Amino acid sequence: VKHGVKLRLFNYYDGKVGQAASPSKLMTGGKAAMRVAKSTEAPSCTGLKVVLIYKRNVELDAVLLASLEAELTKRGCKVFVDRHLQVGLNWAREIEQAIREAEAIIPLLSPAAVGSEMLAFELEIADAAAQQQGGRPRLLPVRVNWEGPLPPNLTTMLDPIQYTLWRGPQDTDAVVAELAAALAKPTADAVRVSRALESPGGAMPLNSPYYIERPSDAELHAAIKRRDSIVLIEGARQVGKTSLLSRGLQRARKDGLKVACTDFQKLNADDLKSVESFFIALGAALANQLNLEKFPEDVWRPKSGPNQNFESYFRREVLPNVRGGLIWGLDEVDRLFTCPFGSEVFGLFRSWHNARSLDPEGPWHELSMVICYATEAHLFITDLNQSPFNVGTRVRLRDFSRLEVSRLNELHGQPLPAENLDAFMSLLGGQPYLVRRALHELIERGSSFEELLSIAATDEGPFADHLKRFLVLLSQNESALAFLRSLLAKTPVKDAKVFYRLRAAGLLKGETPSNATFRCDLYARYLRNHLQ
Amino acid sequence: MRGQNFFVTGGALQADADSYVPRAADRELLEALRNGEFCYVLTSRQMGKSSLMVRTAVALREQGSAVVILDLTAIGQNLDVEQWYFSMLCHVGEKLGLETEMENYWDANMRRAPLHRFMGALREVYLERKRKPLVMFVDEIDAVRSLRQFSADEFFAGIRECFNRRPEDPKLERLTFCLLGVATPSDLIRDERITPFNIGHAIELRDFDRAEANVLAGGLSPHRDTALLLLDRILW
Repeated sequence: VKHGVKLRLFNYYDGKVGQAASPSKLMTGGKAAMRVAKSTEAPSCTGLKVVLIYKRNVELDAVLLASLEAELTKRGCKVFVDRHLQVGLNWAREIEQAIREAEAIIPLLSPAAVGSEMLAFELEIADAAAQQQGGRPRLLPVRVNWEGPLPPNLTTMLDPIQYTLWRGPQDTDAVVAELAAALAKPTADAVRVSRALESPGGAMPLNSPYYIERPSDAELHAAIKRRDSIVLIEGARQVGKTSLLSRGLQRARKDGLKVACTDFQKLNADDLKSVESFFIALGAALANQLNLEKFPEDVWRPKSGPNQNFESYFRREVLPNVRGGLIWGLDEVDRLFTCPFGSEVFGLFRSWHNARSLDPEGPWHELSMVICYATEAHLFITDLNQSPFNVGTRVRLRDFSRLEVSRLNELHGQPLPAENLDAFMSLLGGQPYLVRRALHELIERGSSFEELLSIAATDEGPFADHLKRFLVLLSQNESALAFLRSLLAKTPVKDAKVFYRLRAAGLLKGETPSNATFRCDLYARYLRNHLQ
Repeated sequence: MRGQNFFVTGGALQADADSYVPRAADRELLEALRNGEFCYVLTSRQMGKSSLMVRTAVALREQGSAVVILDLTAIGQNLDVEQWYFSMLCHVGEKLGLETEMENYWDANMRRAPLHRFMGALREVYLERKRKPLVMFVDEIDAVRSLRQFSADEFFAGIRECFNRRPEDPKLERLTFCLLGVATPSDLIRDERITPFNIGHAIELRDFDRAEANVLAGGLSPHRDTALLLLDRILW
C-alpha cells in the first residue's frame, strides 16, 4: 500500500569471516546468521521509533516478539510494544500515538494474528497515518513460520509488501539484520503493483445460506430498478453493507443491466497520490470490467484538469458503451474521506446528479451509482456540512431484529437456546457482526450463553478486539468521552452534534440526544469498565 | 395519490418533483435573471439552494434561454490557472454543443490571459453564433477558496467587467451570471473595486412560511387534517 516497501536481503559479512552466505543460508543457517548479527557494518538505527504489533497469547509469536524487542533495542531503536497490560483510555491514546510517531511498524503475522480485529485496526491506523505523513510509518511485516494467504481485509495493506519469514529462533538474527537494513534506508519508493479493481470479496458469498434479508434489501432493489442516479448504502462498520451491495448488483445483472463495481479499499498508495492518479485508476478499473477499448491514459489531456478529463472520459468512452444503463457500485468509499481531494471527487459525482435533474434525457441518465460507506468516518469529519453526500437516495442498514436473529440462530443449528434469546438481544442489540461472532463462539467453543455473558465485556472475551477499537477511536475525542460519561452516569446529555456522530459511529442509538441509549448492553458495560 | 418518493432530502430535487415548495425567492430569482440582472444566492446549507437553481434553470430554458450549470467543486482544486479556465470552458462548450468551437478559440488565442480566453470564448463563440440569451449558474463558488495555485479574484472581476461593459458592447446584454454558495461575499473576494457582489442582486432564501409549507402536507399523511396537524408540530 502507500508506504509499501520492498525489503531486500542484504548479505553482510566482514572480511575476516570470508565469503558472503547465500540468502537461503542466511535464512536457515544458524551460523551464517550469527555472523550477520556481529557484523561491524550493521546499519545504524539509532533513535528510530519502531512499533511491534502482534496478537498476544500466541506462543511462537511471543518468542519472536521478545527477541525482536531485545535485538532492535540493542541496535538503538526505540521499540514500542503494546503489552495490553492495562486496557483503558491511556492505553488507547498511547497505542495510537506510538503508531503515528513511528518510523516503521513491524506486524508479526501468524494465522492467529491475521484474524485479529485489533491487529487489523492497528494496521489501519498506520495506513491512515502514512497517507497523511508522506509514507511514514512504513510497514515491515514478519511472518511467523507461516506463509498462508492473508484474509481479504489485510491483503490490500500487506500483499504488495514483501515480508520476512521467521521459522524459529535460528532465523532471528537474519530477520533482525534484514529489518535493521530496511530501517536504515531512507523511505524507499513505493512498490508499484498493478491490480485490477474488482468486485468486492470478503463479505458474505452470494450463495451463503446464512444471509438474512432485511428491509434494506428491498429498498436497494427498488432504487436500482427506478434507476436513481445516486444510491447511498450507509451504516456503521460491520453491518453488511458490502454483502448488500453485491446482492443489489447481482440482481441488476440478472435483470440485464450492465454492472461494474469498484472497491476503494483496493486502491493503493500510488492511486491515491493525487486526484489525477485516482481518476486514472478508477477509469482503468471501469475499462477493464466493461471491456472498453480506450483507457483513460489514451485520451487524457494535461491541458484540462483531472476532473474534466475524467468526466470527458466517462461521457465519451464509458456511457456510449453501456446503452441501456450502467449500475456502478462503489464500495468502501470512506477511504476518500480523509483524502485531500475527496471533496473534488464527490463534487464531480454530485454535479452529474444535478446535470441529470436539469436534463433528464441527457447522457447522465444512463448512470446509477450505488455508493457504500461506513458512517463511522463521521467521527473524523469535523465539519458535518462537508459530508460529501447531501444528494441521493439513502438506504440505511439496520441491526437485526429479534426475529432475524432467531432465524439466523436456526440456520446455525440453534446454538443459542430459545430461552436466552431476549438476553442475547439486549446484550448485542442485533448488531450483525457481534451476533455472528457470538453464534460462532457458541458453536466452536461449545460454551453456554451464561459463559459468553460472563466474559463478553472483558478484554479477554471474544469481542475484545472489536471493543478496544472503539476505545482507541474515542481516546482522541474529548467531547465524545464527556458525552458518554454523562450518559453512563444517567445525567442529561445535550450535545446534539456529538450524539449524531456517536450514533453514526455505531455506538449509540435513539432519535435525539434526550433519548440516546447505547446500541447494546455490551457497549455500555465495556465503556463503563473503562470510562468510569 | 403521490408516489412513494415524495420526500427527498438533501441535494437538488428533480425539477418537477411534487415536494418542491415554490418560495418567494423562486419568483424573484427567475424575474431578475430574465431581466439580465447579475444575481447571487449565498445561504447556509440545506436551505434549498440547489433545488432553487435547477428549478430556475429549467424555467429559464423553457422560456427561451440557454443555461449552463457550472459546479466549481466538480471542476477541481489543485489545478493551474490554465487548466481551471480550460476545464470550465470544456464543460460550458459541451453543454452548449460548441465543444470543438470553444476549444479552437482557446487554442487560437494562447497569447491572451486564460480569463480573457474564457470570457472571449463566451462572447466570440457563443454570443456571436447563437441568439438565445445565456445564463451561467456558477454553483459552489466557495470552492475558489481551495484553489491552491492561483487566486480566483480576477474571475469575479471578469464577471463584473461583463456587466460594466454592456453599454459599449450590447452583445453582453445576453450574458448573465448567477453565483451560488454558502460563503459571505467578503470571504470570497476582498477588493471592493473589483467585487461583483456590490453590483449584483442578492437573493435571500428564508425558511418556508406556513402557506408555502402546506405543499408538503400531502406527503405527510393522506388525511388532510392529520397532515396539517403534523406540519404544525414540525414548524412550531
